[in-house]
Amino acid sequence: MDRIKETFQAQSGKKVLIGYLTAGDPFIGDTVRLGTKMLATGMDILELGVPYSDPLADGPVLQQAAIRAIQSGTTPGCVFNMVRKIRNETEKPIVLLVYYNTILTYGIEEFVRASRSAGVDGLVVPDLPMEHREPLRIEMKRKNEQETEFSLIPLVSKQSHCRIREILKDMTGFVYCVSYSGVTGGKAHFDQEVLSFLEEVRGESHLPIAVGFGIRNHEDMLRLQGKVDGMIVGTAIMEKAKEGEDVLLRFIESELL
Amino acid sequence: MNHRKNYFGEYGGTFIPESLMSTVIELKKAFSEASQDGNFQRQLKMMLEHYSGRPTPLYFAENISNYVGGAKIYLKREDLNHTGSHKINNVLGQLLLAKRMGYKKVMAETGAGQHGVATATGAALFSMECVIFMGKKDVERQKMNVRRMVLLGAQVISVEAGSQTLKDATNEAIRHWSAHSEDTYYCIGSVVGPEPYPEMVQAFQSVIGKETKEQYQKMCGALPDAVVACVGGGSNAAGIFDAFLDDKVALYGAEAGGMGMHTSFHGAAINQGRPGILQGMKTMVLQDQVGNILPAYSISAGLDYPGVGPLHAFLAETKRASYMAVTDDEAKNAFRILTEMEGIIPALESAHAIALGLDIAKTMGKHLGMVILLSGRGDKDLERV
Repeated sequence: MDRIKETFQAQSGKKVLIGYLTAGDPFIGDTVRLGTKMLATGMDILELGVPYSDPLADGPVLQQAAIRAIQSGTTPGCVFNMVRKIRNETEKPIVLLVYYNTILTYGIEEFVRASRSAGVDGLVVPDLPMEHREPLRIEMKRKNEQETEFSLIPLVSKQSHCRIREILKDMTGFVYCVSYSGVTGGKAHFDQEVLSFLEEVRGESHLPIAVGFGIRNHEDMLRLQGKVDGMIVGTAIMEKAKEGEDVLLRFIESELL
Repeated sequence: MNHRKNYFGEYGGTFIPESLMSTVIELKKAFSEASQDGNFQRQLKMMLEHYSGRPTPLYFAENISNYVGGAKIYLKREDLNHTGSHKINNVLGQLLLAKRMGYKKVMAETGAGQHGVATATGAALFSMECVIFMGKKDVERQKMNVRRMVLLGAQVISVEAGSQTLKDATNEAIRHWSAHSEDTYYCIGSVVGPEPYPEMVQAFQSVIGKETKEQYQKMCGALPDAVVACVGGGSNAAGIFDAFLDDKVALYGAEAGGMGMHTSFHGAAINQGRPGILQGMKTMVLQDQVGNILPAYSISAGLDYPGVGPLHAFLAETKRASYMAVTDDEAKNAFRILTEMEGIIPALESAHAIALGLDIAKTMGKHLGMVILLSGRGDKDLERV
């Protein structure tokens, strides 16, 4: 079974919407309910952030969310429990956004085993370039009983150029294209430069491509429509989540779907 | 400048977002080319001599040697460098490299402000725009250095996230770098961060060890029996250890013991940390059970860091060097001893090395010799002691 692959195939032509939530923000009890409802509203893939103290790729909104989640007591173990509960409700893919020190501390083998058994379909590790990914990738590719595909999601940036081919080699899931240089939560200009970058990735990729960083509303999505297979929205969702569940779900329906 | 393969064992590496990878790969190449370019080396040597005032003296500190009654103590006077610390050695090297690579803007993080001042100085000298990231707490406790940076034309950004000290200043610097790496050179101040920074900064600081070795041999006709330096990220220690790694010389690093190792208020990453990832490198890190980085503490802003350069993690693991924690009180005491007996006011960072050095020298025979690295001068710390 490969939930990510099936999701992109089923959506053929229509974009796959990947929505991000920091697990455990503001409280441990909130994430399962919110995540389940977001998926029920029509979002296709849930990306859950495992809170980390020093998130180098994140801007202020996600940094503060991580601090609140850590203060609420959210550990990787809690996140696996959340995934298990959401998995009871849905077969849609769930991926974790997790910094590498969290995985190393948990133990690579243990982290992979716990993720799989909870029902996680992929990992996005923003501080793990291809030069260091083999120990984790190899562990993730070991056959499991359910034969469920477990993908290490490759990230590529506008500076990747000649690295793209090697980054994508032997990878599964989807390609996470970072739309601009910098941290999450900034303002992206989906201009010709970004579109050429996406075309460049498309040319090298055997996987569906998704773009993230800076997508905030319907207008951004329209500009990217047809250029990519999926769009990842993080900071904009987390900002709305702060205003309340109803505001968030309405935002997803009106701006993102 | 020496380069050994797998220099740091399992430590080091480049654990950074993909968007910075091409930048560090390009830097690695540029550094390696510059290392082999005689012109670059001559230019750097000239700047170190005529601008910074190298070689710095190696001084036989007779009064404190008599006071401890053990090994003869020599001080390597990096405090006499232009800008008041060893930090300028690395800055001159990196900014010459940045210029060579065509950068017109430079950025840096700073703890005590010594690296910030050195970078702002280099930026003024080479007509580069300069942005310095500094934790809010450090901005408050190192006011004089902030004033110096501003006078030198740098923009000082006060970082309010997290513990508001060096770790958070560095996080914010890396975030800024990831957005501006195309036109801004990141001048890291210690032997930390992703490759090639740890080995590059060590190479630029290795002039300390090289000089020390020559000077000591000239004065004593032998090698010192022990070398002592303080370790936050550990650039001054890396610079002096570099020359003695293959010799029969005992190497000691003084970590920030803060309020004591029985408390959580210290910066002793080697003594109390575990291997982990911090700011692009694998090294010894103060962290909680799930891998979140713990705040470090020290009276000295320059040692207030939850990690350490991968070289030191490696030297500790292979037992080539020993790292001991020195508390705030011990450092303050050493600060007074050196000031009163030798007429030298050390930086609080360097006072940690003095404290450890005096302790070890006591246990050594009178025929033995020790070099303590005095990494910086203490004017900036007068309000703290």
